[in-house]
Amino acid sequence: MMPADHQGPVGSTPAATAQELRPWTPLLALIVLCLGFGLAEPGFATSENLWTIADRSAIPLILAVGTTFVILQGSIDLSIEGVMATSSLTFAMSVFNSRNGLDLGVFGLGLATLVGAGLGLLSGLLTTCLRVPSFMVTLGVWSTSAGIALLLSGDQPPLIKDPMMRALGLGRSLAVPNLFLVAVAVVLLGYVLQSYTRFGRYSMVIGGGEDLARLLGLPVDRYKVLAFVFAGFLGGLAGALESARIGLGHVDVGGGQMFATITAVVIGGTSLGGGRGGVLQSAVGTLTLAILTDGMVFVGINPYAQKAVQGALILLTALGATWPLRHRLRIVK
Amino acid sequence: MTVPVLRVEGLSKSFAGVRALDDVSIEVGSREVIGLIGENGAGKSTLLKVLAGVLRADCGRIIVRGTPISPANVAAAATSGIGIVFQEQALLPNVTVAENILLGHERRALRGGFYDWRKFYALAAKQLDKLGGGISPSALTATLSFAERQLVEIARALAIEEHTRHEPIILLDEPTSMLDANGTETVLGQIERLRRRASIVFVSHRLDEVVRVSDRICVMVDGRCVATRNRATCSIADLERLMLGHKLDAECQQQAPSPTLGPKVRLSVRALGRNNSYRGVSFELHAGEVLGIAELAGSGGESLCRTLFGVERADAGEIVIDGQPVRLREPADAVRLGIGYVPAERRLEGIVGGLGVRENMTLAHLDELRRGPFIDLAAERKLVKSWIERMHITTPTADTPAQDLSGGNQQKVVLGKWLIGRKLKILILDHPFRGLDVGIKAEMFALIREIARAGLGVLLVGDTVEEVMALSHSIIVMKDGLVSGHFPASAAKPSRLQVLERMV
Amino acid sequence: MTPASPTDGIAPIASNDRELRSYAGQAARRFAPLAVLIGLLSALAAIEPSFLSPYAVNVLADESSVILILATAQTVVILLGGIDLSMAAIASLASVLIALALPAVGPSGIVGVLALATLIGAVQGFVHTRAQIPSVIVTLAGLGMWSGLALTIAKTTIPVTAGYFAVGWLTRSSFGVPNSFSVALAALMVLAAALHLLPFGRHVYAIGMAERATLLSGVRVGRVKILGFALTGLFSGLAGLAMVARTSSGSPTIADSLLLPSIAAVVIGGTSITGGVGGLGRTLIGTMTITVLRVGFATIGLDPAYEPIAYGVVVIAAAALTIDHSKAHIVK
Repeated sequence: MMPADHQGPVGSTPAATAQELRPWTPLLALIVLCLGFGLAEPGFATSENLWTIADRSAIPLILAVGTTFVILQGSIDLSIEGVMATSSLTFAMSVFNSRNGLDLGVFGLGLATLVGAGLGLLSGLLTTCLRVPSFMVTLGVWSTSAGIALLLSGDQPPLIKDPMMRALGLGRSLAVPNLFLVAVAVVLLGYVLQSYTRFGRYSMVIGGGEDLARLLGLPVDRYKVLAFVFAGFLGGLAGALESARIGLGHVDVGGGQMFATITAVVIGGTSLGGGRGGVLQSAVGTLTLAILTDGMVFVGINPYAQKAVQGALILLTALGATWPLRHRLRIVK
Repeated sequence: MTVPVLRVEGLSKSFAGVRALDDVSIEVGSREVIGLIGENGAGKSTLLKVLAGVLRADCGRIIVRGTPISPANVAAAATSGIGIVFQEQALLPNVTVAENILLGHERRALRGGFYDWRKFYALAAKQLDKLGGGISPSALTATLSFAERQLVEIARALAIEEHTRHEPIILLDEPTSMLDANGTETVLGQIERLRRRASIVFVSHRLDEVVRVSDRICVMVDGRCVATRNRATCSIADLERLMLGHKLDAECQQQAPSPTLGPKVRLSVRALGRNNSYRGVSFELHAGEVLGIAELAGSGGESLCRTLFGVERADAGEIVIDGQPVRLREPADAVRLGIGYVPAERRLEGIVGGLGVRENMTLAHLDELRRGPFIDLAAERKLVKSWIERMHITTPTADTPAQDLSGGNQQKVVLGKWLIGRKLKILILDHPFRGLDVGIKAEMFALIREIARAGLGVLLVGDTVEEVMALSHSIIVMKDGLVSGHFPASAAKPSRLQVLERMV
Repeated sequence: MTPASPTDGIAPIASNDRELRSYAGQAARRFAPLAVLIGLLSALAAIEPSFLSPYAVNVLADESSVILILATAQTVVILLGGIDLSMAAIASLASVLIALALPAVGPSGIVGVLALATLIGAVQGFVHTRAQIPSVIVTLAGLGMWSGLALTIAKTTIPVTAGYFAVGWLTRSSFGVPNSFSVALAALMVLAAALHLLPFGRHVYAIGMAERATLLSGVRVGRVKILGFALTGLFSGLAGLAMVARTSSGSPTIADSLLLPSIAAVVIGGTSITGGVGGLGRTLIGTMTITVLRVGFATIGLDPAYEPIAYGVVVIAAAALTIDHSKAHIVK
């Protein structure tokens, strides 16, 4: 009788130990990076610089949480930048601004996130009902929402004059940047959703075996749409907050974020194939990327090379993930 | 007599013209274990899949405790009280054991929409305890061994007890086929435990296991349930005879003529092995010989064929073609060496549905139809036309999409794809007669005999013992990955029973 | 005895509804793109009659050439069932390198850059096939790497200081037809001929329709895919060349806005994103439709913001209409 493929008790062989350690690698890498840069460049480890990094990673953190659920399910969302653009303009035009007489304050923030959630809903419905792959749908939604943002922007981007919103975007509470506080709250929310709700657990299930989930009769489409809505909601929040920081609504408010977010999520350990990873991992990845970027600037590397580095990181991580799964008959498109 | 817990009446199901289930009627009583046996393609798996909600029957009724049901999916079947443990593992590897057990039925462990993990694990542990425990509900499913995962699947089926108020009906589809002796003992022990609180339908190709645990045994042949026996009143020999009892086609009954085997050894296989599939396989295939492999599904024959075609990699042993050892990295390598392969899954792996008959038939050998770098369309059309006539392929035109043809004609196209090649030496046929009607079968039988006479070496894995015996000059019997019997061409012809008893 | 999945071999239940829909889908796929193009042209001509003047048609042809070049090669990759998101980035990189090479080494520099672009494409194809990483991811990473590389080499636009004559002829016309369009059209026709007359073409369609069966017919699928991506590399380089001619300069972001329109052109033409169905003739129609949209919007004075909105809507609609549902019942 042929013995089946046994995975022995964990930790009993070097290979198994390596398996155990793998999820911790991104965190270890982050710690090593911090130490490395701290030693190489004295200016790096100051509290001033660290809070700056925290402030700069706030928006990416918010985006990463939203994107994580979509990627956990095995889909992808390329529309972040367009969503941010649309919500940025919506936000800028609904709070006290230079273009119209509205002064909705916090409700403006709510409206912007609602717009983001609506765009996410659109993406989710299109991909589940029309059965068009998510990369195609979100590419289209990116384009459409970017166009809508352009329309809203008109000749002159609206300036934000609401002092409370500007304080939210620029200010600090007890030395901690406000935006970073929001980001931490979002990460916690994401973690709770992922580990304690059906939305989170079913996202893992969908990523790990969607055909099985459908076979068993689970409401897969419902949770897929929810993931896109959540990603859109957080994208809207991010767009509004970034606008609060820079003081105007602008179509380029999300420039470069799509790429950076996917890179961050991927190097944190969330697999692009779905079913593996999570919110905390994505947070680690985001911080790692932020520190890497900051460190590179400190050390004198061309900031334009960032995009190239990000691309290389995505490729290397994908390689690491799929290499052990190679199989002659595996059809990959 | 008490109301049977499960009653099936007149269930029928066809796939693309093949009758997988033909008016099946069975009854399962409370706390009864029914063993279901039959050859490949007899319909056992299909029946279980219909009962479990994976497939919909074309007609017939399923009645659970007096209420007719028609489950749309597995969750619906579970709500009605039927749970299934698939032969192929149906667990999600990246979540915890507890989540797999309670998948779709988490409501009782939720508090205000949030997971109460302690309660979750407790509920799961309850099911695992019914099986003797030993597996932690919080473990990640991917870290479990195969046998442990099997137990989790059974636990999931058992969890039905909590959702309905009755004892569940548990369907076990070949639960022991992938396990070693220890694992098998565990599962059989579990069945003994389960029968005190559930009704069980147990499918296995190992007759000794079936006889050991079942109360009654139902024999399926060609989609029908032909006999039901009480365990006490039948023997394994009886069951074997019943399994073979389908009407034999005239072609099948005709024994293969004595071969004039050339001395040339086309293919030589030495101690070939592939982890978890087969081990220690050695044989020689001569020019003009038809070598048949008789086996029940999952015994390694199919995997062996795929190894010889470069689809799967061997972990041990050697493949020698025309005296030269070869390494096959992909199917293209095998084709260059003159090997052809007719796969079992015609629709997925045999034809390219959207391409026409002509383009399908020349796909493997376009390099032989070239004029310079270009395809010689005129020569191609002419060649294909002659082969369509020769093989009597029924198609409106030579450019009709292959998916529009009937199954039998599709299979002819697949066969033609290889025969068209001028350098073909070895042809591997993997369950080639699946789903073909008698007429086409007869034509293909004749074709295969013809090409063998022309000097080709043919390796055949057949669905039934009859097919293998009718066509083959020599026969290898495989069971559970090992060669359990070898009847070379030079020796005396074996009887059907002799072959079958080595298969089971 | 490798355990398969319980869902193996379970074909999606074919209902009359589904068959009817695929029939309508087939009809739509065949005639709709041309109908849409003609309808669009008629509508625009009604609003602005000068739209159909020879001058305007000339402008259309010229405007369409770069997207046509990109869409032509993209068609091959989409026919294979994949996608190439890095084409615009490679084109931008090529434009930068050509702008630098022309003054330095003259016309031979162009050959070198085109060879490099082809190599980049081939490497992406190699990684995709060898490491079995989906083409979306490989080319997404490529988009970052080549774009970043271009940005590192040239922070802003690089004017072509010398040697422009080597590419300048592309901006002129011969016999009333813009040279850039003629070149693009010629390249398309050569590739179309290859798809029809070479075994490569057969293989591409077969792989797109049923990769497993094609693999099991002895086709070296890996090589075909690498060749397909090498083609996208080459054509991206050609697109970069065309843009250098048009703007007398190279820029690291010059082609960024062309990625979506070029994919849209393929999909609108009726080539299915799931692969195996479609062709270069359709891409030509799709490209003209996209170009008419672009130019038309400007002609009738519509806010340019409507362009990306239209692309997004049109791409999704076209993809939805042409998807073969029986092929992949799990859509990610």
